[in-house]
Order: sequence, then structure tokens, then C-alpha cells
Amino acid sequence: MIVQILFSLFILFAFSRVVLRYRENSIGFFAFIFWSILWVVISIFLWYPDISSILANWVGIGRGVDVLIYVSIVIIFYFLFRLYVRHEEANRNITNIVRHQALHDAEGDYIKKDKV
Amino acid sequence: MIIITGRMNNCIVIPAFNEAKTIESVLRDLNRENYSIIVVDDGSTDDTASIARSCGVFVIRHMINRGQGAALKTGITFALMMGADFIVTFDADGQHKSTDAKALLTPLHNRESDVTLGSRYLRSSDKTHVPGLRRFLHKLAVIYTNMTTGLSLTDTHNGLRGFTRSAAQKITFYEDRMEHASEILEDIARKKIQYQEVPVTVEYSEYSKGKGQKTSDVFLLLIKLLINKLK
Repeated sequence: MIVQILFSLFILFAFSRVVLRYRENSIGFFAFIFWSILWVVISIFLWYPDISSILANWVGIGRGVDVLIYVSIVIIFYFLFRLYVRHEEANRNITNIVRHQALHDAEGDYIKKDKV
Repeated sequence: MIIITGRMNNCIVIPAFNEAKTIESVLRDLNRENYSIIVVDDGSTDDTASIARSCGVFVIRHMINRGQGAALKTGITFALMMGADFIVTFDADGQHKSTDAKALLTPLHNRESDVTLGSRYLRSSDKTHVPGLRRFLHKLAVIYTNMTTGLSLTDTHNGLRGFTRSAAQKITFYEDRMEHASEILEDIARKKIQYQEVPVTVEYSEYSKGKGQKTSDVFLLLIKLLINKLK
């Protein structure tokens, strides 16, 4: 019981941070909704741990904890993939900028423009 | 717009990263012919750029290192900008010889094909230069690339390539690092560009063996090739 109360206090604190960040525009609307739902779900599992067992039985996996871990891993892989894609895009953008600069300098060095 | 340098008929594009030790001899070797040489200094921290400049060739500098593929693309873009009719890609570490550049250009000049691809595995005299494990990994890469592109090549990771102007304009590639090699081949296959392989000799010295693709990198390359298939 004590553990649940302590964790709930922490969750309330975490949730307050989420609200704060949203209000100061540090995170967007969908991020706000995502994290809010996440903390709510964590709270539900905190106060009704049997739900994870029910979920486990429904899916056919042994323990409730295992279900939560499997789901978390899947979600993490998804976010990792998104991160990878964004990283690749950022790299491409950097190269385009570096190339543009290099060609611009080369133009200046080697191509003389007609004086109009 | 006046181009100061006159005709840019045959253009050699040389991507270079920290090749101060070898760039001068490479350029001297090439300068014997009447080529327009473009060195793309990919953010070197040594004197590569200044040495190249003192040899009287075009030098383009990337402010930071972006990879051989990126440097190649910059060089080819510049060559096309300057009106090149034929473009040859060439390494800066001394593994390639100017006779190979000539071998790549001749079929292009004779209009035999639009792309010439250097191969270490067409002549047995060239094959023996390649270190054992590397040869095996190359063989794997060749089998895989031929399967996935439908091309029939004997060497799929060779920095010596020749393009006609129209082929260079048609081929697009985006990968900055070593994956550009397979991207180029995939594009040649996809756009059905006329290609042919040309025997070349690649000299492996202790220096270039250390600098060039490490054998572990070739492993990683094979894995990346497989992953890239998902794109």
C-alpha cells in the first residue's frame, strides 16, 4: 500500500511536469496526450496489478509482468526506428549544406562571371 | 559565364580524406595526360588540399568530413557544372594508376557503353594483388549484388568507374559513406544504363591496406547491404 502511495505521488509529480511542458510549448499536443495516457496506464497497473495478469491470460503469455515488458520492448523498437530515420535525414541535410558551401566556394575560385 | 580553364573533356574526380602522403604522386601520375582533375577534399585535417592546389588541379573542400560517397557526388556535380563530357572516379591513396583511368575512358570515347566499371577480377594477374580474406568478402558481395541488381559483375566495390556525361546526369545516389557503391550499381541496373567491366590493377600497399576499407568494415558493409534492401 505504502509503495503504491509513494509511486502515485511520483506519478502525480511526473504528470505535473508534462502539463507544465505542454503549457510552455516545450512539447507538442500529441506528445502531451501520449505521456498523459502513459502515466494514467502506469497508475492503473500500479493500483490494479491483477489487470496485467488478466491481460497475460487473455494473450496467452504467462505472467502479467512479461506482457508489460514485451509491449514496452516493441514500443521502444518502434521509437528507435523513428529516431534512426530522423538521424539519417539530419545527416543528409548536413551533407547538402556542406556540399552547397563547397560548390559555392569552388564557383568563386574557378568560375569568373561576366562583368555586366 | 566564362569558364577560365578551357575544355573539360575528360574529368577525373578524386575524393580525398587525409591523403597528404600520397596525393602528390597520384596527381603527378595523372597529370601526364591531358585530364581535368578535380580533388574533393573531404574535410581533411592534414595538408591534402594545399598539396593538391600546388599541383594545379581543381580543389573543392568539404568543411567537415561527410564520407567518400558525398565527396564523389560533390566532385561529379562540379564536373558536370564545368561541362565535363567524361568523368572517371579515382582513389587518392595510390592504389589506382593513370593507365587504369585511360582503360576506363577508351570504351566511353568509342561509345561502347555509357559506364565503365573497373574490375580486379577479370585478369588473373590483377586477382593475385588482392589480399586473401578481402577477396573472399568481395566474392560474397559480388554474388549478393548480382542477385539483387540483376547485373553480372565480377567486382562490385571498385572505386574506378567511368561515366559519360549523360550517364553521370542520370545516376543519382544519396548515401554518404561506403553504401554509395551499391547505390550506383542499383541505379545503373534500374535505369538500364549500358555498362561494361574493364580490367584494372589495384595496388595494395601497407599504407593503403591500413587506410582503405578495413576487412571488418567490409563485413559491416555486407550487413548494411542486407538492411538497405528493406528501403
